[in-house]
Amino acid sequence: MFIFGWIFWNGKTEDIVLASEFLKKVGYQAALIAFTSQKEYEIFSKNPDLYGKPELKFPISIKMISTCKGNRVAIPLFPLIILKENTIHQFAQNLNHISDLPLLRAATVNDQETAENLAKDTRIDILIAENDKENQIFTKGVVSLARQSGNTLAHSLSSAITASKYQQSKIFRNLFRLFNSIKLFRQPNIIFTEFHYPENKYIIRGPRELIAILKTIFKIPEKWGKEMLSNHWEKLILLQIKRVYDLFIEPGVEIVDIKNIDKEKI
Amino acid sequence: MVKFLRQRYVLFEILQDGNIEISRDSLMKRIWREFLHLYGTSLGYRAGLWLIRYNPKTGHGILRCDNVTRDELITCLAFIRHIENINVLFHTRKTSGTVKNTLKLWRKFLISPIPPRE
Repeated sequence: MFIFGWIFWNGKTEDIVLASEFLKKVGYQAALIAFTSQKEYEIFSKNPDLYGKPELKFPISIKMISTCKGNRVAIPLFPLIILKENTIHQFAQNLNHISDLPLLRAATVNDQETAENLAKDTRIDILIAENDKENQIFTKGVVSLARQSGNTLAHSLSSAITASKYQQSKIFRNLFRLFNSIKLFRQPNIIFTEFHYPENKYIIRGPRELIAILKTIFKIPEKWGKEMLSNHWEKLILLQIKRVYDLFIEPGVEIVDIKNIDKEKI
Repeated sequence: MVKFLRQRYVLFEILQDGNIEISRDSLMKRIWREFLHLYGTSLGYRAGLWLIRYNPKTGHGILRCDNVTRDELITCLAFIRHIENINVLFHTRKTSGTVKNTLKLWRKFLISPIPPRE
């Protein structure tokens, strides 16, 4: 199952419905929506046209994703919040507010120091690098810290696609070095091409095209490319579904079944 | 004995705002320009690119290439953002080893008339 990351929330339901139809045409089966604040998430979660609570069935598997579809959207959508702060203190304050919400948490990185501190934090799920400058912040130290705390790294290919011919080779080189260092650690990482609908919808690339780019330009085998676009995303989405029902205890521990469920509580 | 060089036929679709017709010549010029920029003449002569069928009204078509350079062709299509100042998005639907099978897939997935051979 190919999952798209991510559409930015702009408050208009019709834009998101059209964006989901466009993504289904291009070849994706699910997508994430990115918020910047708690209020935006509350508006989204209360709208049945866009978001549907997943039905609880044991064992928890990927097939539950199809039950999360809203009434009007073409593919199921999952919430994600992105934090963009300047100092570590501001990150810590925001994380305290957000840690109870059942959604995925991501953070963009500006400095080496903040990257090392965020990589150690287990409350964050995804560390994002959107630009060429942010890709250079992911050194071997940051990658190993992220592996120990269970974070995934996210790399954007939209800068490589939209750059001029003279800048492309530099961006390719930095990404090639990064992917080679990540291969050694066997760190889970994901690929995304984010967009705002309908302003720049032609930056999206389908999953087959992204796998071909990774294979030919960055010499990443097809199997690993598919994992970057499907398997690692599926693990994150299952994590989000477990948070909805408070079933996540810690990594390595999984609840197999619950007896005597109070249906009113669920 | 299996041949080293085999052909592959890529069924593609051009997504764009509005129904502006893109001519066959401008499409091939753009694809060649991008291919040579990314991979150069050292791989260009081995690609064996040819536009088999193309419907300019719907933007559907079939491209021929060698089995060795199929992924390179798909990356080349992925890096094309505009043709003659029109924002476009190439979506590769299916690949096949024979023309007959790709025409069958065209009828199944892209509900549009197939143009005659040129």
